[in-house]
Amino acid sequence: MELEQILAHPDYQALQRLRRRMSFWLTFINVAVYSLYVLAIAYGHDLMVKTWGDSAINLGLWFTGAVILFSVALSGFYIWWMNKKYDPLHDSFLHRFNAEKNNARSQQ
Amino acid sequence: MKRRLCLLSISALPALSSSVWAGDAITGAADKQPLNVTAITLFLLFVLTTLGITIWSARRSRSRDQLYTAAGGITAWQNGVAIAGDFLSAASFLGITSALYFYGTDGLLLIIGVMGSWPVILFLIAERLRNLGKYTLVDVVSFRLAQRPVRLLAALSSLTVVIFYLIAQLVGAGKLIQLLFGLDYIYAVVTVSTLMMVYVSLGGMLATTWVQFIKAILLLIGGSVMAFLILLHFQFDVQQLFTEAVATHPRGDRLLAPGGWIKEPMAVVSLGLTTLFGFIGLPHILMRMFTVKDARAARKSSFYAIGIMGYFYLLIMLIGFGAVAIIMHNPAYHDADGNMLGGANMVAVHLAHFLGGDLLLGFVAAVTFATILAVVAGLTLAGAANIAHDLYGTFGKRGHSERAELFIMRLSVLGLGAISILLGIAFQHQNVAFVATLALAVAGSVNAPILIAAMYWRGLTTRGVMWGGVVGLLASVGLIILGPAVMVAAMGYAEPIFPYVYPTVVSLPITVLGLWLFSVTDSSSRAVAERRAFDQQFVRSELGIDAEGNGKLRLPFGLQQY
Repeated sequence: MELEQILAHPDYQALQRLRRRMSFWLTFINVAVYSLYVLAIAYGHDLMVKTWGDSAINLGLWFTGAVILFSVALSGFYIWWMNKKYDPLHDSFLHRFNAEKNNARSQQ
Repeated sequence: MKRRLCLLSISALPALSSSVWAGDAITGAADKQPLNVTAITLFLLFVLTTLGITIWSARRSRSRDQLYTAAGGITAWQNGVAIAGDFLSAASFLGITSALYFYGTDGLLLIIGVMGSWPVILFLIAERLRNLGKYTLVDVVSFRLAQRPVRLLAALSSLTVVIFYLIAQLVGAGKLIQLLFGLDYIYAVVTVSTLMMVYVSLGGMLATTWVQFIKAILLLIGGSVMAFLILLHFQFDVQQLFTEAVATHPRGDRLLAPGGWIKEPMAVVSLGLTTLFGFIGLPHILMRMFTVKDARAARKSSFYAIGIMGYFYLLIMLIGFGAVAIIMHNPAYHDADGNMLGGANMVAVHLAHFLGGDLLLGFVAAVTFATILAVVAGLTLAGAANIAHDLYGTFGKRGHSERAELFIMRLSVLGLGAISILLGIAFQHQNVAFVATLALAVAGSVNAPILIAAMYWRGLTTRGVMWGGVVGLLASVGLIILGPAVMVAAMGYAEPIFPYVYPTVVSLPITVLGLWLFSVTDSSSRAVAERRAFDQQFVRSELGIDAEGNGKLRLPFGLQQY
């Protein structure tokens, strides 16, 4: 059965593992930063009002701006990684798998 | 999101200076404003353009694929703008600006909620959703499970979210339009509903996407102009902006400290959970993933969307705190008692008037109207797809034709429009703030965990989804009724039984527990087959082969052999 061949194919396993790791760690980092922000708003009132010099812009505002930019940057990194690293492997796996199957068929 | 804003304000009401929310535009009485000619002209222009697009789309909306998903013909960047448009509702623009203006830092939670949840959609959901589904998120949930019960439950849960969101938007819209345009509430609700029915039933997803796209561009222009004029006002010195905001606001430097809005830390955590999961489970936004050609385009559109939202939310920070510094003590925008004219949601509108006179005011008002229209159109389309594709498609006459389903779909649009008008009128003088809470809480407590489990957890079975979904629905709805939004604000009790506005901190774990418990104890032969089918589903979600699921194989490049 084709499904079992795909599942057993070392290239598919490598591909799948690569993507799983990347999605997991990026999600983890993103949720960790988000949780940190929510917890800081909930419990870290004193920390969030820290200012530097005579500027009125406090840590909370910097943190907010940073989380916004960080979310965009993290998403940008994922897109870049998927386009540059994952997609070529994905395409070449499908090509190779297909070629192997055709070979097997022609040998029969 | 506007409803959410008002709702939270209710939970924090005792701690507020009573004047702030006395004239609230949404929950309180709204004074009719004089007819605003600029706004109406600009809005008519928008309506004419979008109706033209609808006529053009109608000829391209004759099949199921076209009507539900524009046959996957939307490009990634157009879809990205449209997704951002769905998030940047009137509530984001007016509601978050007002939250920053009155409460300061806590209002930023609403921004970070979106920015925190959207990358999760990108990393975990977007591409696999596109690979597994056809028209709705219910397709994905029911992929390897028993079609009839799972579709029924998931479609009902999705419809609950859509209908409550729709009512919340419409009642808010009616009051807002009354304020901005000087139109009667009933005319406003009927106008919005009628236009929405025309867009969706004739133009389908293609028209709905274009309406959202144009509106998002207009909103971005409006926001950018306002932020630029604010920076100009402070000679591009952002420090100065915040220094003056702190000096002006009655709370002084506490403006920039957390705790101005939601005192209870656990309530903050529950709101954080609700936004994180709630935005993942919104049916009308997930549906946009099916309007692009493949998983890679879905991925790209998600990135465009978060880029645009990030930009706009940075603008909102400038606009919200800039408004404090600029118009807080301006007598032109306040009555003799110091209340804001037209209510608390008018901050951005007054600021637009101060910065750019009647022209910018008219532009912002027209864009707000357009925004409401675009968002309700997307919601209606998602709801109609649930009824026609998920419910009629599964429970309707066996072997029904595509034409019959399209007829049901258009009928559902009219039905949803009629329901919205009736409920909109019925709820005119009610406090409907809890309705939007309900929508987001159900999306976060039921839709999101079920969707994620269906995609990633091999052990999930039909029984798990049914029981998990039912207890999750009961828990989220029940706790909202027992919470401050319904018991205190709507029913008038002094103390709620459940202390937080958002039930998610309890209802989400209940759903997850239900999904797990009723799945692992399920040893039926159906469950065994469902677990076995996970591999096939996962391979398809990973590789994107056979993406149409109907025998017609669609490969990312010219392979024909699968």
